[in-house]
Amino acid sequence: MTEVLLTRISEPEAWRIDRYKELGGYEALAKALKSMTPEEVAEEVKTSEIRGRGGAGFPTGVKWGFLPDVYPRYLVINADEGEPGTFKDRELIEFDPHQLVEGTIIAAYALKVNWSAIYIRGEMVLGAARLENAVRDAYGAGYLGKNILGTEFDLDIVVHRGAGAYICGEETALLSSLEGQRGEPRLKPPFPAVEGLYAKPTIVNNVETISAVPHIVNKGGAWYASLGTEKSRGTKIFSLSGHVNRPGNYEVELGTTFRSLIDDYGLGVRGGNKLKAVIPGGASSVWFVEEDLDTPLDFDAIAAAGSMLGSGAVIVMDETTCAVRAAARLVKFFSHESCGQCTPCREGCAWMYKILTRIEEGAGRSEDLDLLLSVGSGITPALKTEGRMAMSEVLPYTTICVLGPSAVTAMAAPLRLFREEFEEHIRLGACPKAAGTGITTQDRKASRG
Amino acid sequence: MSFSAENRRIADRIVAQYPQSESAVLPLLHLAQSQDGWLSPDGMREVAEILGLEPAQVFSVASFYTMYLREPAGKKIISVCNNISCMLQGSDELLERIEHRLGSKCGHSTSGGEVYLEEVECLAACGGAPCLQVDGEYFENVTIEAADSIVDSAMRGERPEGGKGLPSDFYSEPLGAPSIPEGLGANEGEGS
Amino acid sequence: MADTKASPEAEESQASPERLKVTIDGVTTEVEPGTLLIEAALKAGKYIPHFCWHPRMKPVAKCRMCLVEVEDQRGLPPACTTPCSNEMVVHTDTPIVQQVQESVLELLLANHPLDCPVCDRGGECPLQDQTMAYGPGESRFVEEKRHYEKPIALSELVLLDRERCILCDRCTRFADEVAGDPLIAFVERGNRTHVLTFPDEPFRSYFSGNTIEACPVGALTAVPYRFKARPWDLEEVESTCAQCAVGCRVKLQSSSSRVLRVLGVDSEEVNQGWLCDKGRFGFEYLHHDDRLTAPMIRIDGELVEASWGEALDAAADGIKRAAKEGPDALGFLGGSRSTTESAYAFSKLARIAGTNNVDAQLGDGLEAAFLVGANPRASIANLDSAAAIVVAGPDLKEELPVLYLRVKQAALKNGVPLIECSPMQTGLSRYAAVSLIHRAGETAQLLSALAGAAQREPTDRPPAGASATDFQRAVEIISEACDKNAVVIAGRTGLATSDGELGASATQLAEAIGGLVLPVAHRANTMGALFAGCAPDLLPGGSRLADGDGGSRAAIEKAWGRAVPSHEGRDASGIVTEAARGNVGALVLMGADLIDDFPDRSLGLEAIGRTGFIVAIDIFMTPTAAAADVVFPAATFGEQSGCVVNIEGRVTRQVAKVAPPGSSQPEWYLLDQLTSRISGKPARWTSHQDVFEEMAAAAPAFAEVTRASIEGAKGTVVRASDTYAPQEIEHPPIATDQYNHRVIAGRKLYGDGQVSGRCTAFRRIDTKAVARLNSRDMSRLGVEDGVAVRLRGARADLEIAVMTDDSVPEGSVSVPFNRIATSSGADEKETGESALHPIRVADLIDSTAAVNEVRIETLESPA
Ligand SMILES: Cc1cc2nc3c(=O)[nH]c(=O)nc-3n(C[C@H](O)[C@H](O)[C@H](O)COP(=O)(O)O)c2cc1C
Ligand code: SF4
Ligand code: FES
Repeated sequence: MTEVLLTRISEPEAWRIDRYKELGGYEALAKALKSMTPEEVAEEVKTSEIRGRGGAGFPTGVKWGFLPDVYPRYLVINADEGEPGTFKDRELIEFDPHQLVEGTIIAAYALKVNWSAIYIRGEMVLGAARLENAVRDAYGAGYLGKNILGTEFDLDIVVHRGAGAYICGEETALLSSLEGQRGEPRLKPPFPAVEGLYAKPTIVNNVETISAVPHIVNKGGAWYASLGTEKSRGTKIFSLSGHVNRPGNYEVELGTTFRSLIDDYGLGVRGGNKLKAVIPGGASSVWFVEEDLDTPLDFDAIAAAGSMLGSGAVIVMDETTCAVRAAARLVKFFSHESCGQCTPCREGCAWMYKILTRIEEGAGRSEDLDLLLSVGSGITPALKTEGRMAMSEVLPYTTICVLGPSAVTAMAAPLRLFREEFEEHIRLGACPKAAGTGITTQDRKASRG
Repeated sequence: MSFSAENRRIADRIVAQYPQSESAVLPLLHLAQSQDGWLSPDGMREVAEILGLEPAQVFSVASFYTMYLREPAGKKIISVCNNISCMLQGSDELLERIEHRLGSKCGHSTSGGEVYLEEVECLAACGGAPCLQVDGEYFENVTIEAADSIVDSAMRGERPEGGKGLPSDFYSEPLGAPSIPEGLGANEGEGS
Repeated sequence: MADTKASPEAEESQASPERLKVTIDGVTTEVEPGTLLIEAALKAGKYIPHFCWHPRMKPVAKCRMCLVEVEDQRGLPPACTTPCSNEMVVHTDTPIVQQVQESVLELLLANHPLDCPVCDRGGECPLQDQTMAYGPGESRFVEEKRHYEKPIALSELVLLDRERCILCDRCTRFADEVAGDPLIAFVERGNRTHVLTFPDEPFRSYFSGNTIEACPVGALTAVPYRFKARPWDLEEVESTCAQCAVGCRVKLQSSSSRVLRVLGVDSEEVNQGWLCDKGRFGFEYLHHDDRLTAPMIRIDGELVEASWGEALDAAADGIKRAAKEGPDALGFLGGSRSTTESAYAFSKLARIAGTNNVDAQLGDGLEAAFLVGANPRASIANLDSAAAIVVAGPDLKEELPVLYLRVKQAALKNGVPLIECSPMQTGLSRYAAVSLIHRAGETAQLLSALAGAAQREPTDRPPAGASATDFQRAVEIISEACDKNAVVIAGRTGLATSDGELGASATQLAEAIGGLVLPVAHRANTMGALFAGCAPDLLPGGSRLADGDGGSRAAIEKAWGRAVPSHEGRDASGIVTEAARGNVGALVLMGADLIDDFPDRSLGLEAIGRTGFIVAIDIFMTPTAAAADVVFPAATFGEQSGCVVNIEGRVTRQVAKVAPPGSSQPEWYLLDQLTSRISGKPARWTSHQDVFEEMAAAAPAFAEVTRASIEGAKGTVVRASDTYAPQEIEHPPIATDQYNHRVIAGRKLYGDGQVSGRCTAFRRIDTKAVARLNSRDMSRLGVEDGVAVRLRGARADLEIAVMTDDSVPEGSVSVPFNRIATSSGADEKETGESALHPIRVADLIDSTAAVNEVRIETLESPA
């Protein structure tokens, strides 16, 4: 385990500003503001080659470089963490909010931004309070407001609470929501870097991405780039959940394998059961099976294996899991969270969910499986009907954002891996798995934090 | 409803935090809900008035988000995660158990108005699945026994034991108060 | 996420900004930069199926029906949001595009009810049509469909059936983006999204009906049209709306000789497809039982039906008898509700009868010479690109709603700075850069001061009580807009002020800033009637009677074979004032109701009482007609053909679609008969075209207006032969009594008039009259909303409920001119029998005063 962002997480009360400072906090801020120009800070971030930790893995330094010379411009931190299986940002915020605040201030300085918002999931009541308090304390300490640390630099940070909508994690939906609108994704182009919040240039970055910035400034971009693999630099927090013995957040150098993550950190599949499948990068990713576990945790390697690293949510399912039920649950989620703008997503997700539920409840028809794939192809026309699914099949898609295509993946990946199980379900008119899941009656080992 | 004088002051500070006032829709709706326990039409109307919007516009926004309760709910709110990681750890059985013990179904309040039970999407606590929230406080690795005791406390109007903490354990600022301290915000905006 | 820099195409298109070459399914076409693919395809004759795209709204690309493939571009871009770039090669018929179209349709139909046979839209439904053309064969959706409570009323006029809705966002976008009334919106999300109003706050927009037309399915239906007809049973003609002087182009649809529906026509010059609800739904009066069906003459004090011959003889005799007393014993009022042909016939009859006492305006407009001669005159389309717009006139939203939309669009979408000069805030205030709210009746002074300031004449303080900072801001804006085609819109600001020099001051301002003038009038064909010579100082063609000794007078006299009287005529106020003194022997009223239309009702009543002989040509038994000696039933909108002239001077056609009731006749016909009886020469016309030809020959201004040139939506613009050039303008000071309130008497869109009062569509719309007062005045008076007070005016007292309204400045009171103050409600409206008694705001008004003031008294509160 190589801990960079999580170093303070087990320190008691690291969320308090005095504790944070004792542990070396706000030194990077002083360094950046007093001895570096904004351009130099941006350059360090570029050198680090860090790729966005929010899901798409786009190189942060490159994205920052897209900002046209237009002011005001904005920095918005995406703390809407809602991708099923992902819980890293919440812990980063609850246990080390100042790390994020410091990163935000430094990034804003580098981007010549004077107003920034942290859009946090409304459900994260405790995290939001800790973050709000951290921001207040940072004002009190002169890290925010006018003339920060005696320099010319001014910055305000507003902690903005969402209100229950997964789609607001999608950056343009997030901006709509932050403008007081329904959280509907916008058409791209224009991209936020050109026309974002209030139609002004805006950078949207994930909590984890920005939390890394103080470390990059402290130790240098080159140091950060020395970690990880050639195309996937640095460390990344993986949220391990599901049927493992020790779920939790683990920060590892990129390049570690899935097997190592599950066995070394997660202490293996629960009860010595056999592995059925792994959702490797959040609910929107194509499922992996046993034979894929030696794939390194690296953006490109996972893509080459047909899936994606995504948000770093690794969900493990053992042999007792019913694939139909899991697929139905995921598609239900996407249908519930569809914003509803695009016909194919709005109608297609709901239809797929209805069919899956029917199958799960024992009223499936033999033609339903082809129908499912056909409905899915209304969203992703290149969807194939046979063989293992690959992420590349979701291109092109007929929707504005990739929520719709994600639902197709969540349906088609398990269907195509476990088609016989679906068919058996239909034939039996019931679930072939005796005990799908089962709640434990004793306390399991709590996850970290 | 109508904002209390104190909340009205908070509302004005919230609006002033943003370069454009419309951005305050969500936080003001949270404030209205925290005052009344639910988001009434009057609450939406007042938010619209403060921001110079039509009530229909505010309604349109509010109804997009699941956290706004558009009907009066029970005094305590139990939110059970039903998403994949929790499902894998038995959240369906957990939910059933809670329904049974409450004697009321998901999406409803108990007949005495003590508890409102809802299903929610992933709460970003999958490492502690199955998980739930009571009035926003996280409870993780919830066993059947733990669920029973959570329900019993909630029915008595008490805060259940074993949660992971609430803001009120640490801070005095009211929920929804702006993060920029009074008088310190620069309100950098379009025009400046 | 794949952030990319601005596309290289964008740079390329800058290199050749003129035209872009685009190839769509092998057809190459050239388009302007900024053209969307979907528009380019239409140009190339290739229809790309779509639902959410509407040419007059911002594209949102939500339905996903229009996805296409573009060579060298990834993905499936929506044609409705993709701008063309040069050398673009587009495919709209590849297998993948067809697959997308088919599945979008299947998905749209999945939850759509199969109720086409009972749907108003069945037969003219884009969803139905596109399913035939691009859709899947059969439905594979076996699940339960989405259910909603059956049609819910969004307002008094519009119903919504949410099961049919395909969530294209057109109605909601229209309400927000075009109408500025975001009262309907999407609620909930995802699969549960639907359109709704806020609880208990209906979609009360003056433009709500447009949403029905914009809806691509039958989700929105009109209360008045519901289940009335099937599209295939309807016949239609294109015509021009007769509700106000904007002259929106409409489609008039009828079945079995009843008009059933009015739809908008997208005329770029005029209404861009939109209509106000009054124009759209206000046609039911046509078929009302109260319509006059036969001529009537007064015998022994009673009006009794007569034959056309008897009535014509009686009318001609009465007019001839009075004419013997000299030109001032005659008065001719009306024409602004008629076709231009009929107005011409009216103007001609007056002159043949020997008088110039003829006026189409009823003391409620501006100087006729200004209205026809404003120069350089702006067109409605000029507003789009104006450097600034100054509005000095009525509340456009209430009186000329579709012009309001255009001004709002210019301000909001094109960023044209708007300066409003008004005695109180109006519908446009929200969009104005500056609202120069000033004392009622002093708008002309304000415009002159702006003109002066624009020419750097020192002003000590802003006139008319306007705020100094606002005035300064306005001066900055107009100075910036100098010589860049700013537009000054000028019309009467209300009926309780004379607004004497307003036309002159507006002209002065336009001249000072090198801008254009757009004069506005209220009634649909005021301009046409003035151009036809229905004004004491104008000849047909709009040339000045006094200066018209040259070509125009000669041409007219040649056409008529008769000299045009040369004495100076009286305008409406002059005629009514003289009549009230008992000096007028005969009044001929054509669509002119002195009791309900004339701003000074006491004077009007007096005039009627003291005039020996009255001829009324009308469609209903108005209070004035009831007092007449001869009544002729006239054909009206939809029943007769002819041309009308809108505020821009644009001449377009009105076309007959149904037969008038009983023996009603087009006015030109009976006027020709009267003229013949008076002149002793045979009647000349057998059709409105005969009238048009005589008018065109007689009036040089109409020379370019040929029958062919006024066909179609665009029509043609007529220019007055004399341009208006005001002399030195003087603004006599107006004394104010500080204990009084100045009266602002504007019209509301929905009133209790003869016509609106007889449209069932408007029956449920609240038209209670209230007096609006600033909150400070309210507390000074110690009254609360809803309490009745007494307004003591020069002419009469009026008891009326008050309402707080801070858009009215302190010291003023706003009262609706066209509503009955003590209306007892529906019964009266239903029968339209408003008799002589219901109190109207017009009772308060002294039309001879520059401004009207009232004292407000609180009433003893009833125990
Ligand atoms: C449906 C959807 C949900 C998303 N949810 C999140 C989220 O919860 N948190 C996040 O940081 N990014 C999320 N993203 C990715 C964001 O759009 C965006 O790429 C990211 O915030 C950029 O930050 P980064 O460059 O630092 O990764 C989501 C994307 C989609 C399409
Ligand atoms: S794909 Fe779904 S979530 Fe995304 S914009 Fe379209 S409807 Fe909304
Ligand atoms: S018309 Fe283009 S997406 Fe609807």
